[in-house]
Amino acid sequence: MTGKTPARDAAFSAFVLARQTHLRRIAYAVCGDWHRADDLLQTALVKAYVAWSRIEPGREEAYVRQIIVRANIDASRRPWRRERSGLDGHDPMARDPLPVEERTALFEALQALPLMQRKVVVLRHWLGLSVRETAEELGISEGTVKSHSSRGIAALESALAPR
Amino acid sequence: MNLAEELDRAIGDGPEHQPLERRLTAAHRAVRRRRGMQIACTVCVLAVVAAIAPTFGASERPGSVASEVQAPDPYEGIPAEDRRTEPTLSRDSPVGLDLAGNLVILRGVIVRQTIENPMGLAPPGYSMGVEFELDQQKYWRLLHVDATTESAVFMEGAPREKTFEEWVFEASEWAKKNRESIGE
Repeated sequence: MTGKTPARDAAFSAFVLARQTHLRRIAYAVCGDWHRADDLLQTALVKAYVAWSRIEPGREEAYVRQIIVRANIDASRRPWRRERSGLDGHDPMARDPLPVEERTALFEALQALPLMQRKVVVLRHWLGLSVRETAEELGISEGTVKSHSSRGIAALESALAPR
Repeated sequence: MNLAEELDRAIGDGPEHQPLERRLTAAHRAVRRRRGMQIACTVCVLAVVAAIAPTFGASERPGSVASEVQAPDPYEGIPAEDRRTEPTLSRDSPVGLDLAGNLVILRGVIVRQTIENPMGLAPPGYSMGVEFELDQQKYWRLLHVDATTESAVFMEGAPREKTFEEWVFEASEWAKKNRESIGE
């Protein structure tokens, strides 16, 4: 370790303690699973720590958030039985999903959106980023953000409309 | 409805966080790994070249022993219903690996470059880093499969701060860790 490590550890620790709950909620909104959300956050935090000296002060959260929203395990392509059996016996308290009744219809509707629509809705309509900021965060064009946003909101409204 | 407030309520806070010490330990390990990465990569390339050169030579000899030995069935002991099937391509999953480990793509996908088996998985496992374009949008994928599952780590757009090769290396490390963490 270098002489810079204690200072970096202190700053990193303060950042983690202050922002990890918020950042993990973003990961959860994107992937819909607390275990995966924690993995996503951990990966993003590790990358941030490695790059700490290169991150502009005050931009740490944006840096971690960008890693979270740009990278994600494609859970939808994994057979469910394999995924479930693989979790048996591993820290069940942390890995058990919330009871179904605690996952609201809105959250279910959000998870039903195609991935990029979901990410755009999370950034634009939950975190309140602008179209430009969302486009930069996701590495896509502003036009693509607008189309994903309108389709995503329409799909949420349709899913939540009284029948 | 106020969507931001509704989403805020819907998402919740989740289970307890892992201890800060564990996050720091992982971060320290990553720094050490990064420092050793460059040297290790050079050594690996030299070792792979040294290892495969004689193998290629032997396999080309007619009547060699290697050509007569039957490879073990990689699916032995796995029930048919649990085995992986051919990938189903869609707009969300426009690239995949077939049962033979070949890249298959959705119509309209333009493959720019690939990196073969960056995770070093043994058959029937295989992995591939893929840079491709669809509707003028660039994507990076790390596809990885084994006898029963197919998975992908993906990146929308191409970040300016790293190359495709760097990303595939990082994604491979992450995917290997993730496979271990869920008991595969």
